Amino acid sequence: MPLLDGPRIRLLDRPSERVGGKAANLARLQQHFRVPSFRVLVPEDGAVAAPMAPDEVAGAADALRAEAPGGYLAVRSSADVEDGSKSSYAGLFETRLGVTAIGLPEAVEQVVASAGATRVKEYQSARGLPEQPVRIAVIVQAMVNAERSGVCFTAWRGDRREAIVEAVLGLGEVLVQGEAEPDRFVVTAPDGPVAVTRLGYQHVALLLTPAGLARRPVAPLDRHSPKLLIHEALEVARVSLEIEARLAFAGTDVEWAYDSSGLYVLQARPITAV
Amino acid sequence: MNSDWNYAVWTPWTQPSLPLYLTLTLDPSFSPLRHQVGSPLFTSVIIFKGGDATWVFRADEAGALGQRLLDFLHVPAHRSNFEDELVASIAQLEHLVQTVRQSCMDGSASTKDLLELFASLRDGYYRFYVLGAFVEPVQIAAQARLASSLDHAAAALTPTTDEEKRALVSAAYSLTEESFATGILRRLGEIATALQSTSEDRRRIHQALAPLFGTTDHGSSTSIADAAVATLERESPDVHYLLRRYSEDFSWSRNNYARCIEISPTDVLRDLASYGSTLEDATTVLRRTVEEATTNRRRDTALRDRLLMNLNPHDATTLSIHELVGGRLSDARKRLVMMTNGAVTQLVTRLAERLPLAPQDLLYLLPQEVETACTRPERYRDRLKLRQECLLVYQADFSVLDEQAMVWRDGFTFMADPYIAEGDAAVNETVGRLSQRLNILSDATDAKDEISGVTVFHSPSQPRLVGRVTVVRDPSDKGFADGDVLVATSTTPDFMGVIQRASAIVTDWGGQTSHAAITARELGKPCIIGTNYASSALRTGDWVELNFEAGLVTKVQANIGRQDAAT
Repeated sequence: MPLLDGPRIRLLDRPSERVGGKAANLARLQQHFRVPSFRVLVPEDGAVAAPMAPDEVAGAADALRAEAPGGYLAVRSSADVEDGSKSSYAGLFETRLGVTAIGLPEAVEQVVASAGATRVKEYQSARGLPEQPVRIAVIVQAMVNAERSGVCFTAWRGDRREAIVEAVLGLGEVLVQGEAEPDRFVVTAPDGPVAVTRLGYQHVALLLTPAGLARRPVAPLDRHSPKLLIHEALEVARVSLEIEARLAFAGTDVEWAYDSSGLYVLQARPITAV
Repeated sequence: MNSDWNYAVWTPWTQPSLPLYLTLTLDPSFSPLRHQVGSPLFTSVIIFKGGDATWVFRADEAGALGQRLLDFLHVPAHRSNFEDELVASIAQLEHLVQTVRQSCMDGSASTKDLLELFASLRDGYYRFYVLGAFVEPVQIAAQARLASSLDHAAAALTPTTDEEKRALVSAAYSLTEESFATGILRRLGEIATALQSTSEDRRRIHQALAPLFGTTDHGSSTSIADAAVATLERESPDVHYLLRRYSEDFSWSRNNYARCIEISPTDVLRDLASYGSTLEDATTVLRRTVEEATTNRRRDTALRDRLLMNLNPHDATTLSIHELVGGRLSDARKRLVMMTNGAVTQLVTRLAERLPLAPQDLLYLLPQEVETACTRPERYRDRLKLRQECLLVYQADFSVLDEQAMVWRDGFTFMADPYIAEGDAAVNETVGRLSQRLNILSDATDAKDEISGVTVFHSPSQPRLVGRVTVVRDPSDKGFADGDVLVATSTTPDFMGVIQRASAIVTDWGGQTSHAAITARELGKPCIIGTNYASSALRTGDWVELNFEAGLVTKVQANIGRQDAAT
């Protein structure tokens, strides 16, 4: 069973132990939302890491070729400890973006290797978690040619819910790395208006170009322009709140992207306790 | 972040305004001067709705800023730098306004040129307004510090009645230069005199002008004035020249944060006609008013000089800072704000001709959005529509919504963009959120029956006055009846006609050197200033009692609801 797609993951018993939390969530999301196609390389029972079998890796690339613009793939870890609702392990596992079919074996290897990295141990000891080996599956996903993307956090605030949408031009990774000041929209849930907007300022965007992933300066007049129209910010918030409800999360942290065809959900995690 | 704040001190004021004009005062750059003084911008919330803006700011923040600035300006080197910067920024902004006017008139400027001009004008305005924002805080701080020493100095000088003491203290705050108001009246008087002294044409001109005096019909007074201007242009080039000069020099005087109107020679003649029922009459009134104002000013200056001798050097310096900021800077601010708003209107009108946006749409942008919105109008259209319903702009120097206030952009520190809420639903929601945290705004519009302010002038023989209120937002409105109590946010030279007919003046804003205070003293009108919200709490047709000794405005009878329609 080493190469799985969403529908097959959903048939598994206790999927997050078998394919990792992130892949299990993706499989559930795919049922109801627009999620870029993906395959998951899963470790054999009892093993800690996904296999490196060349034909399986090539099989994942083949399966996604038609749906990935320019053939570019994203490679992410999906660990049994990751994306739990208590400890996020956020950012500790390596993610590779803009990977081609040729580069895929190397990228998978790096992502798997990151699970043994010292920083995972440091994270476990810093958070007072038992030091344990991490079982890691690998998600290979078609990349979206994101014109705008970002994150959305949903949470209870007092006696009502709200969603905070952060948006940048291009890929959302500039946000994770703190390279751009995003636009911020606070939406009152579930049907409220965009309560407040604060526009950000972005010099650099990460774009998927025919030549791969590229960091490009943003034209001066685009740096300070609204990244989302009001109805788009509302759509992101509405979808995120629906994810929260369907996946039964107390709050969620959704990664989303708009390409020319519309909105994609890239990932959704439960928000962990601070 | 700061739990000690007393949120009861949020102060609201309302005046006619549109976003682009008013938000030009929210400086996005973190100015070095503010840095030196150790204070960023004050926290403010502005709500634009139906052509009015309600601005809520923190009085204690403004107060603390005023104290720091006053200390800062007590250092002679800082004061001279401040004066240099004032002179330089005024010159730069005046030059920019002229450039904009010329470029808009000749019509050959491209969209790109116009946007560059807008950016320069905006930056020039920010440079000046960094100083302009200090006027009220410094005035308030200086007056608070001087209160007891001026009182002592006055008592030592003429230990007579309280009334005389108050006149002395009031004189200390009066300006030594001619005020705008008097300047405008003097120029109008010169025109009236010139009209009378053009000997050979005198009868013909009189005949042409006569119907203008005494008419209250807007349409006919305009056509009579038009005809008179044409006659003057043909037959009295010298008077026509005076009219033209007047309308150029004071072209800004009817602008405010909501509208910008160029005044024409026709308007000048119509203004003149509002001072009397004949030309001779108007001439006499104008001459007498200017003479009285000059005499009063001379008397005030003499009183002030006598008081100064009884002040210690530190207090004397405080008084001179008050004069610099409350006088020169404040005068410059009135003029430059109005001039800049006029130039902004011209630019916006020219830009809108080339864009799929109306000039009105552009006035709902924030200054930092103009270049982007003119280049990418499609990204703003949905927002602009909502903003015309209602817009809230919220800028803070601390993090109410857990956000940082300062950001680095291109190597400079800026105020982060303000939070904005667009449309009625979003604004209501945001006001609710802000109120929960800050307990503000809820009292802003509650009508109060007793409002307190500061009396700047009244006649000792008339300690109280009962009168009917007319709230004036637009001084060119015709609804003002002789003898009404004028209630306004603040007054400008444009209010002169209304002020002359009022029995008393009540304003929300301003200190001892505000236009209302100066004019009231000059014209001998009783006046209460600094009520903060009289113009929002009172309505036209209400009856009020003014208690000048206590500085109180008390509503004695609410408007029954018919007078508004009748006026």
